[in-house]
Amino acid sequence: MKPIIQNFLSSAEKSVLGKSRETKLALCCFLSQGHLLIEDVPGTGKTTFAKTMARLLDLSFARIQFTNDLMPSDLIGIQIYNSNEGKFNLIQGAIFNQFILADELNRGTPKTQSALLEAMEEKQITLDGNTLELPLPFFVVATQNPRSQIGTHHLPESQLDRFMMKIKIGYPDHENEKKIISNESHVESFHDLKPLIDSSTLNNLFSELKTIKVSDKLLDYVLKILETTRTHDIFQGLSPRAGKDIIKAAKAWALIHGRDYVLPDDVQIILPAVISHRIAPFQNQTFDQDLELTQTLIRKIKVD
Amino acid sequence: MIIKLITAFIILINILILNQEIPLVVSGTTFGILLLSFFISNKSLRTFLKILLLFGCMALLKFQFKPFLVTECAVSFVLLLSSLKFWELETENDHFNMFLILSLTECSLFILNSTFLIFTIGILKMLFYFYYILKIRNYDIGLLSGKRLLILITPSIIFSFVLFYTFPRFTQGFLNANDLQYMISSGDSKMDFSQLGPVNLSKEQVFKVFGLEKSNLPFEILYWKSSVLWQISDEAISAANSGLKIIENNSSKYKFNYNVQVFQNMKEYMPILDGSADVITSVLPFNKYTDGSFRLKVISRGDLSYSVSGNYGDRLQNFNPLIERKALKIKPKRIEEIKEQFFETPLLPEDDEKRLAQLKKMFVKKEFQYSTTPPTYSSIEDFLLNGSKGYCTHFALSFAYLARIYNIPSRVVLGYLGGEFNPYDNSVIVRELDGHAWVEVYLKNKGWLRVDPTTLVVPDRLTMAASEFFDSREPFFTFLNIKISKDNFNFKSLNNAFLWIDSLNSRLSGSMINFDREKQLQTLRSLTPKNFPVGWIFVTSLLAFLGIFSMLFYFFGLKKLNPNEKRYLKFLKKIKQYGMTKSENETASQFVDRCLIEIPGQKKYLEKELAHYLNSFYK
Amino acid sequence: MLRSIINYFYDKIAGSRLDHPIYIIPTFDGLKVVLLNIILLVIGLSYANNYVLLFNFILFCLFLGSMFYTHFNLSGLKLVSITSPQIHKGESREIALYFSTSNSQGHYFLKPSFKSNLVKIQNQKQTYSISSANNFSIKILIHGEKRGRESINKIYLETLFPFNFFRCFTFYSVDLRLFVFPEIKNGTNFQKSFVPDLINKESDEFFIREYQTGDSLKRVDWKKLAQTNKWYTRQYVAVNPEPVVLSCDDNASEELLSSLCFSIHEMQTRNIPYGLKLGNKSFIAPGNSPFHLLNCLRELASYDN
Repeated sequence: MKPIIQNFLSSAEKSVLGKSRETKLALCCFLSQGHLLIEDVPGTGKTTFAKTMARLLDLSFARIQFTNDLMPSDLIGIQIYNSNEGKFNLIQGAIFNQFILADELNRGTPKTQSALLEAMEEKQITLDGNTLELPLPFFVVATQNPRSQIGTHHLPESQLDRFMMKIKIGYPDHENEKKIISNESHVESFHDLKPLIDSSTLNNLFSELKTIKVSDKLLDYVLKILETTRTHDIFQGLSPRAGKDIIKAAKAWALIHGRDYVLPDDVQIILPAVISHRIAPFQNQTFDQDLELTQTLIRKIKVD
Repeated sequence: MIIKLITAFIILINILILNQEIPLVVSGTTFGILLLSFFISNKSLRTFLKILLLFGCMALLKFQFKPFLVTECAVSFVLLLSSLKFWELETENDHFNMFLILSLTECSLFILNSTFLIFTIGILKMLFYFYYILKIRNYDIGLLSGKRLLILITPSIIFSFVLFYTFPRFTQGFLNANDLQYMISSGDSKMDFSQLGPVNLSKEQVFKVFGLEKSNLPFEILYWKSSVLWQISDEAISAANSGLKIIENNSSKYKFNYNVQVFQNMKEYMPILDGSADVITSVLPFNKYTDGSFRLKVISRGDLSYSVSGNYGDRLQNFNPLIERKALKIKPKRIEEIKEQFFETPLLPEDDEKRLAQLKKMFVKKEFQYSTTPPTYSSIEDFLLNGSKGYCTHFALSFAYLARIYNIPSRVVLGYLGGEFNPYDNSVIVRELDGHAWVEVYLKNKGWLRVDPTTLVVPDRLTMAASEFFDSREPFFTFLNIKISKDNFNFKSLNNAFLWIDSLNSRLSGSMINFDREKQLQTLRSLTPKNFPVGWIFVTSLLAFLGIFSMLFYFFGLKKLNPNEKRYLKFLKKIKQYGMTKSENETASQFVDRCLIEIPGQKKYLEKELAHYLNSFYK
Repeated sequence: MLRSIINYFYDKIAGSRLDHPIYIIPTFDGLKVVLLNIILLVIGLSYANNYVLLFNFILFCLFLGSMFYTHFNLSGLKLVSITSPQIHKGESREIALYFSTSNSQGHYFLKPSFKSNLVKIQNQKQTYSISSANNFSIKILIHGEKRGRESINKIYLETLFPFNFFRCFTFYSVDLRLFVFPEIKNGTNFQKSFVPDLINKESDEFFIREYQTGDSLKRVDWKKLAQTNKWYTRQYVAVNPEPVVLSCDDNASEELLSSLCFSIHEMQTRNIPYGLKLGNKSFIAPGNSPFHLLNCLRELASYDN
């Protein structure tokens, strides 16, 4: 494991107690330039987790709290008529940052949601006919309450597909929870965090990611995964984009572990995060059920 | 369409090959049906005609043959059936049925014409036909080509030979029983050269024919086609035996019961076999002649020759009152007329030798003419009184008839005269063309004596080879009333080629197919442990064949693994000894992790193998 | 008679618990060859003709060889998965069978089939090949004959390659739930009921409202601006279609189901949320997504009156 990644993980550990796996997955998602969706019940540290990531990555950060009345303009920005000058000025919205934390995404109206999701996909926005490029790298971390919660607009499948990963923070284990509820300095440690990975390091990591080898055998394995979901009717068929995401994430996972080739083990580890939100044929399932379904899929497929 | 033409072609070839064995009517009908089927497209008319023709064919077969002619009857029927079946060749299934029928025809070809060449051609023909059947089944035959075809066909052919050579024969040696039947039955209604009879060919005679009297060539007498030696004189026995090996006398093993059917018109002139020449006996396979007086014994199947053992020769020389009575029997119908015409002086000399000389003289004086296509005569009297053109049979019969009037006991002998010397394997080929008839008379002091009345008419018949003789008689081919001289065609080199093929054929037939049963048994016994039943050799080779075939397919179908894969599989196998098996959805690293907990002793090995595996497949 | 015997054995063998065992039996053609072989053997023995015997043995060995080849042609083939097609009555769809093989020589002239009351396999005589050259899948065209639902447990696969002398067949255990949806046919004799939308909607129904910062310039009512010199925004009320529940009685006719099916497809394409109520047994809440559609269609397929 590279020292820089080691550092990143150990620093994150200080702020987000006992969640090293999730931290790794998140890092993996950033390295492969995907967007992350975090779903859990309120109060499990979703926001803290996202904020920690942003702090450590040294990127311009914005947080958008999604509510019923949040307008797309709040997100993207507005053209304001300056009557003195007699022309329109662009006021940039929160989206013109590199790291965006979209808190409680499913509380926003579908209109606003789709504005964000379009930006995520295109990495550019269109405002009154002008196309504006977003600063790169561009990450969105969205948090979401479980579907059963009242007053939420759940995301349609097509938009869920744009998130590379969907993870769950989960309740901390016994010891860490004890620390959290007893230790006041927990919050302070978040403020103590220093940016570890600057943009040039990040770019280096990006280019390093491209050199990671993916063997034919591994591609066959991933293909088998995709085909299996398409031929069994307990799954929804995965899109080629999902396949691409699996490879990207697996590469990043290999990079994090200091390998220059991808193993099927990597694929198995990142698979629940990458495909669980795309695999369920019916929307009324809980996330846990989706994860279980993914495990079923993994068990079904032969691997060497 | 193309396959239809191929089918028609195969049927035509069969007709051509069989043309000497089956009556002309059958081949004509077959050909006619074949032609008709190309022109009649109306389906109901077809069916109607087909039924009609089927009945016609049955009637034809019924009238054409006597019931004992099983082989020809069956062959003709199969041939006719194939041409009838040709009418409804549409689907691939029809073609397959046609294939089966043609296989049967092929099989009859082998029976009637047991030569290696016919066999090879037959096999090739059938394979070719089968190939086309596969083609119309929409099977892309390309899929079977090359390696795949080789893996299927080669072992099949090899093992069919193995099975063939190890197959225990239930038959009595290698007698072609059919030949025997053919010879016996062929004396039926046909008055032509295909009437076969006893072989009467001494070594000296053969030498004389070819001008080789003083040579000491190791001769073998090879009787072509379906001839059976029917020894009628001491001379002939010695001729047939000379240069031929005789298996030690275990004749009790080869007993035959057989049926002698004699040409009705000639019955009274035939050699008298212990007084029952017109015996009508049994069916194949033969066991024993009814009175047990003689047996036919096979010397060797290899060169297709036969000889007779037992007291047959003695019997032929016998002369007793019963035989005398038979040998003097004449139909009294028109005897006076004949006496009037043929006897100048009613007084006959006492001495029978003088009487014979007188008869010969008179016979020559009559100036008969030799012709291979004489008019039809209703009886011998008819020939004697009204005709002059005839061939050996006519002359022999009439001479015997006259001899009996002269009070000389006489009998007619049917056999062969001449043959062709084949320099390629020092053998003599005796063909049906060489068939001949002559007379034996009994003289008090000299016993049975041979007289050939044909030589009295045309002396050339004895001194020339048969084909030469017939060519000299008829130097023209007649084709649509146009005569073409045979001199225009020089067959010499062609004939040489045919002789060469004949010798090849006989060698292959002898060595590969008609091999000796005793030799076969000896070889098999020497190859296997003592007291191993021969039947088991066949069974064992069949089982070995099955085993080898399945192994062949097993290895042929195996996926070729690269060394890394092999090493990995070996690794898994080794770990299995420790009771660890990899489940299908487990990755190699997970498996090794699991193993490390269970068998920490193998840590080094496990890690080394894992690293190698990952390196070779994922790096 | 013969058919019922064959059916009996089919069911018996298909019910076997073994994992795709390979059975091999001679075909009618093969039996004919056996008969020919026996005849030739008898002829060869009685006439003691060695050529006939040899011919007989060659035929026999080819026959045996083709037995091995036929078996070899099917062995090593494993059914990996099978797609369940969405098929309406009267429609033709493809079913894809995915195979894996451990045989390097490939498999030729395979004829898959299965027993079903609802669908019929089209061009049954067609054969398929699987070799390393093409991908390991076979697509069979089926035609929906009857509406309904059934589960198919066994897939039958046979081959006659290469000489048609042997029929080699096997059964693969599958778990294919086959739904044949009703025919899509227009008809309007069913009840549509509108249900109020339960989901919160923007209750802003003003046609024109005051301009707020951030509103798009395209929405600014320029006419009003000119008249009053005040900024107004045109607020369009989105035409959000009312959800529809399609319902029918407990004993609906086939035709009614067909027209229901037609309506469902209509609404799916027009983006109208719809629900389905079939008698008292089943109710599907309104929605609009591909999976909702599938759900509704399956419900229609499994409806039995």
